[in-house]
Amino acid sequence: MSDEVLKDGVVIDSIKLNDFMSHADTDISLADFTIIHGDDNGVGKSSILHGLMFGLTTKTPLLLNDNVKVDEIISNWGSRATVTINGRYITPVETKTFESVVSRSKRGGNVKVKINSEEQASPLEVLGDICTTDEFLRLILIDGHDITRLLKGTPKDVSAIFDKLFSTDIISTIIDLYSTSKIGKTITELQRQVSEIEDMKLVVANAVSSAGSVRDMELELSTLIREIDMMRDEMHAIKQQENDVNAKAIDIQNKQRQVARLHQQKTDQESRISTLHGEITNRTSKIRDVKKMIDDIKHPFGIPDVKSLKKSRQEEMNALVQTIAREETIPNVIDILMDRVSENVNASCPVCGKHPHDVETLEKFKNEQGILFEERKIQLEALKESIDGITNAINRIDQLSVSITKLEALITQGKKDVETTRDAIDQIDEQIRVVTVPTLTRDESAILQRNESSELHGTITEKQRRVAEIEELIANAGDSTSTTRHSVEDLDAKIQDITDKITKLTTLKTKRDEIRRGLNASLKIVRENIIQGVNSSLIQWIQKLDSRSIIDNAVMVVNERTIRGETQYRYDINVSRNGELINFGTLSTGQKALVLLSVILTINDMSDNVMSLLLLDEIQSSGLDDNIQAELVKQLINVAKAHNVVMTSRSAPFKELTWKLLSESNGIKYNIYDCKMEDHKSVLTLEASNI
Amino acid sequence: MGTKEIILETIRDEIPDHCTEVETVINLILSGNTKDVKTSLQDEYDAIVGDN
Repeated sequence: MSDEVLKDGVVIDSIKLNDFMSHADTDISLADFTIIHGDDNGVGKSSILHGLMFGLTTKTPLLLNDNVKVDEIISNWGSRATVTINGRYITPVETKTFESVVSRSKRGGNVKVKINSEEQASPLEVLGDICTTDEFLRLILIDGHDITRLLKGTPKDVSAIFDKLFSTDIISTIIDLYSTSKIGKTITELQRQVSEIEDMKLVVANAVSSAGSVRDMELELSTLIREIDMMRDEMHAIKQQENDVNAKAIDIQNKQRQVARLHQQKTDQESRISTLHGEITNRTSKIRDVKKMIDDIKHPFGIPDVKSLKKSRQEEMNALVQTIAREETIPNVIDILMDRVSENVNASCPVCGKHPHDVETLEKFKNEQGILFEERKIQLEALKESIDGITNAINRIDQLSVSITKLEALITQGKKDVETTRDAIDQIDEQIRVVTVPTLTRDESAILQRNESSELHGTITEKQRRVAEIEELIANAGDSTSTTRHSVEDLDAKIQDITDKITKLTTLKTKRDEIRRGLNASLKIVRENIIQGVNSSLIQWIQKLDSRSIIDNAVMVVNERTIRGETQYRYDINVSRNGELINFGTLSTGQKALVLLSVILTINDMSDNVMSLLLLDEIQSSGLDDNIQAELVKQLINVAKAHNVVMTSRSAPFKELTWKLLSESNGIKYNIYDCKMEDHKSVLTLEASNI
Repeated sequence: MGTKEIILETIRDEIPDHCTEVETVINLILSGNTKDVKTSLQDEYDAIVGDN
């Protein structure tokens, strides 16, 4: 684009495609007029146009189609498609450089835009506020295979595009500002408020008429309150009496419980004495039994003092032991004597000193002594046994004596316990005697049964309920009358105030409605003027481009309709041949291209050059005659004075023609690229350039 | 003369004479100052309605 002819707008200087569709790594410098030429289909020419739109808007026509998945812009070998666009945003005041880097993976996108090295929110900011993204996409891509795209949008979308291009949206904006719907709603609300205040006046009037009944209610109220006061005093006295009697009754119950408890204690103690007596008798009987057992033990010995018996037997046994010891030596002596007798007849008896007997006598004596000795040993054993029996008896008697002693001690203790318990019983008797259990009088019993205060309380509650009712009635009536007294004047003033506001708002609404009507009328006239200019330009372009006069007329018309009070416009292009209206859809592709190119060039004439970029995809395929093609190229070169024009071409003659005309033009910079596939990847080569 | 200027001229001709504020409004909108227009119109409304 030549800076000297540029008024303002966006200049795209270069585009870089990485893993975008069929492009692995493609750099393209854009001139005022850039041609991407390739002999075959599918070599990546249109992808460059898609890349430009993706880099500028983050969307492509492919992505607008819900049936196309995002990964269709990602190359077969890559995981993330990236488009980098460098350019300038030129205003009469300054020039800003910008870089837009937009990428998209299967998981999501990433946008980074810098203007003068400062990051921006969106690449659209650098395009100027032409229209929305979708509208922009419909506008800048003119596809040779589907050149009717501009008219494929909904009437609302197309109208919005044209309104924006022709600046008629200014009027719509102003009309919206003068909307009177809020004023209308406020007036309705104020009228409702006036109605409410009028209703309030009626309420007040009713309240005033009920003032007499209020006085009656006030009398009844004062009587009731007086009665309640008296009943409250009475109830208070009764309540006090009831409380005293209740306290006395509780005291009686407590003392009765205390006496009963003492009697129970006395009974328990008496029972204990009885138990103790039983134990004493039982133990006395046991002592008797033990004594009898002792007697029984003593009885075989025949003497009462068993210990003395044991002593005499012991002495007997000791004497016997001594005798045995002494006589134990006698046989030896006899033997000695017998030896002496045998040897010496004069030997005397070592025992008795007498003359020894003869041996036979001595032997006889010895035998008699032996028998006697054995008898004495038997006696000794008998004495030992007797002494053991006596010892056992003594031990047993001692044990039994200990038992008797213990039993006697227990009996003594039992007797003491009996005495102690008797003392305790005496003390309980004393306590019972001391406790005085009062009794209720007949009147007091009657008070307990009657519960008079409760009945009185019920009566008071009933009267209080009535008081509350009357008070509410009086309060309501009082409010009404008070409102009446205090606000009749206020209400009138309020009504007057609101009425004044309604009047002012109505005036404001009338004024704004009048402005809206005027603006709508202006909009209509503006549209008519614009359409007149559009049609004039259209006819001019049709005549220039359609040398065979297939289409003798193509006019843009505005159809107007009113929905819910709002005027809506729809732009249509009516095409005629030989003076007869024909259906645009029935035209051949070339004829449609002719009309739409005329529309584009007309828009360019009419729209203050708001477009900055014109993308033309395989424009030569619209089947135009050579001279028409030459005229078309001349016009496009003219467009390139103010905009970037990027055009793809599959036709070598069309490319040559454009190249020739570009070479002849004055000051238009151009680049011509050749595009082909190598190893399934797009490869671009700069074929010609005048930069 | 651009389209916007043509529109402005047309409106000036068509709007009733006493609606002089429209010209001011258009000028504000053309300068991209829609906010002041809205505030101005709202102020006029608020002045009447007050704290109703």
